[in-house]
Amino acid sequence: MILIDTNALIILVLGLMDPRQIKNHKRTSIYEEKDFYELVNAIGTFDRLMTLPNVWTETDNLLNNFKNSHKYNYYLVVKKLVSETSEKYLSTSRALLNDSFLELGITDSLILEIGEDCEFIITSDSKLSDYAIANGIKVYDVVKMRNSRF
Amino acid sequence: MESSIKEVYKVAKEELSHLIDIENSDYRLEQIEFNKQEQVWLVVISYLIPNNNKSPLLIQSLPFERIYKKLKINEAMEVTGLYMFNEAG
Repeated sequence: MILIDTNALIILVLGLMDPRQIKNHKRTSIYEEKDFYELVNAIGTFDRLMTLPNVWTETDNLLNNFKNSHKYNYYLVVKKLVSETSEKYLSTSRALLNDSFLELGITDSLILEIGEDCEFIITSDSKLSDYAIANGIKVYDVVKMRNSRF
Repeated sequence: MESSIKEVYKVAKEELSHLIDIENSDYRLEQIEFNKQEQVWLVVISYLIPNNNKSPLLIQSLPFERIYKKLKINEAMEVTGLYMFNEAG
C-alpha cells in the first residue's frame, strides 16, 4: 500500500477537482498541474492508496470552504477517493509513544508508525520526509520533485 | 506567473547563500504567495542544518534539523525582510 499525507492529499483532491486550481490555492501555490499528473502516475490506481482518518480530517478542515458548484465538486471528489482508497485507524496514544510526536505532531507521527509497512509514503511536508528517510521509509517527496524543476 | 516564481526562487536562494551552505543543505521553496496589498512576494523556504541542540527528551534525535524562514521580496526583486517561520503556522 501507499500512504499519503495531508498536503499531498490536498494536491490530489484539488487536481481531481480541476488541475488549474492547484496554482491558485494558498496551500499548493508552488505546484503546477505537472505535479498533480506525476502524483497520479506514482499512485497508479487509487485502490493502492491508504490514508488515516486524521489525514482526511486535516484535509477537510483546510479545503471544505468552497462555494457553489466548487463545493459540490469537492464533495464528489472526496466521495470518490474515500470509496476507492482505504483508511487505517490508529489510536492517538500510539502517536505519543513515538519521539517524533514532539516535532511532527499526532498525524505525522502516526504516518511514521505505519509507513514502515507501506511500499512508500507520499508527502509534501519536508520535515516528515526527513524523519521518514531517517527511519528507512521510502518517500515520494512532492516538494523535492517540484524543487528539482526550478 | 511561472517565470515570476522561478525568479523569486532564485532571489531567495541567493539571499540564503550568504547564510548557509546552499548546495549541501537540501534548500527548498515551500510556499509562495503574492500579497497584492503590500505588493510583495511572501516566500517560505526551508533547509537543513546540523542538530547541535538535541533534546534530552528524545531518545532518537536526527543529526540534522529543518529550519523554515519567511522572506518578503518586492516587485523589484529585492529582499525586504527575512523572518523566523513556524511551519505549523
